[in-house]
Amino acid sequence: MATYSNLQSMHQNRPSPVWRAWLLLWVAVALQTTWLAHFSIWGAHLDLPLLCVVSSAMLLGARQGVVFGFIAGLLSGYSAGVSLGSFMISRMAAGGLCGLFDRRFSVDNPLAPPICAAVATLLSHFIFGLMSPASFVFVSWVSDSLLSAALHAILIWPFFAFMQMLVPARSSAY
Amino acid sequence: MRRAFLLIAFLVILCGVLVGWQHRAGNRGRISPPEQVSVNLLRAVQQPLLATGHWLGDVGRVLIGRNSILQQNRELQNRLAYLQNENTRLRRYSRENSELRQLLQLPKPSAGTPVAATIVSFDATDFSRQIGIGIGTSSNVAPKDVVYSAAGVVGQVTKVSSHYCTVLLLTDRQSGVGAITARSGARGVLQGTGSNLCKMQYFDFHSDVRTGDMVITSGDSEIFPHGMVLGSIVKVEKDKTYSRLTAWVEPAVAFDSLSAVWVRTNANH
Repeated sequence: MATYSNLQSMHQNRPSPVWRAWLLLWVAVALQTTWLAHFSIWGAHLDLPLLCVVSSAMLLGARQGVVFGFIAGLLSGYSAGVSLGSFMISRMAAGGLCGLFDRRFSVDNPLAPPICAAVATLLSHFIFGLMSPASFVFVSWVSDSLLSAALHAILIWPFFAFMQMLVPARSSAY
Repeated sequence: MRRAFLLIAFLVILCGVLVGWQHRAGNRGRISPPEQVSVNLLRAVQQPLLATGHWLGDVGRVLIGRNSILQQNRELQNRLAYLQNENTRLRRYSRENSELRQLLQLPKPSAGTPVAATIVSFDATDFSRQIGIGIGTSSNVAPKDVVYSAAGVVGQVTKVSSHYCTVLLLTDRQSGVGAITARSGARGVLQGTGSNLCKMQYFDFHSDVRTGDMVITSGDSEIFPHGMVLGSIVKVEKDKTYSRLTAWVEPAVAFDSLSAVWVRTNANH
């Protein structure tokens, strides 16, 4: 007969469903390059792969966040056909930073996802601007960054909740 | 902590390798193998998503504009009949033109072979204006092939793989086409701006350019043949200080609603 401790250790040894997050990232990039390609609010585009990186990093930690950022940047860069390095480095930095965030604050805090999304957006736009300055006009870059940060801060909630259903936070998965 | 630094260092090095690989393949007008794998993986989802999106869009339009559809259908039937008549007339003119050219012994423009292609992906960023289409070297598509639709020029092929290629749109910042106005023959260069409008520059300051003028390809370059529709002028700016004339051109093609295009292959450019 299985004791409580045996059941608990079986539960702890169960493989983490991180593959679901990878699948979601893949679908997010496909959605970004099809349905969401023409979706913008006051000129700001919704960046679904970036939201996916932020959510994954908050739920799975900094190391996973960096790897998610790398792959999201790779897929976005290949889809855009330009600035591959800028995409990868900016997404990696955003993933890493949001992954560190979960050590200071609880991911269950309702303010954590929007703050992370806004900071990650500003950081990735800043790095992108530094690495590919020719792609921007400064004024439109600042306004786009601020609008995108606000848009992402609002839209991260449903996305993060969906991601939380698919992939439990690191504390419960490990 | 040390493992985290090692991971980041490894990813940064890998990033450099991938960027170099892509740059090297891009210089030869090709797509690097990792990019090819990525495109193929995404394509498996992109095509069903686009098809579903078009279907949902059609359903939505039918539901919203149900009352006007019959009226629109009648108008379209009338227009179709008109265009069929005009097409017959143009065919006759074309035949006559061909006969006259033979008489005058003028060289014919290199026509190439048109190949139809569906759009696989749109560019989703603010940094470039490109689309991906579902044909490649297997259909004799090569870099610099002209891409066009019924409305006019869409752009030119930049990178090609076996069953996929990327097309630089007229509105991309890197795009430039030799152009003339159809009415007065004023000559200039049409450049993309990254927005929905293009800029036509290098006019003679005293050129006769007006709002509403149609802009067509000049045929000066080896890539675009003469006489393809590019768009129409929506605004003219005259800078007397620098004797500079600039016209803003709205492309004839609605890039956002494109679903299929023609590629002019075997053009020997």
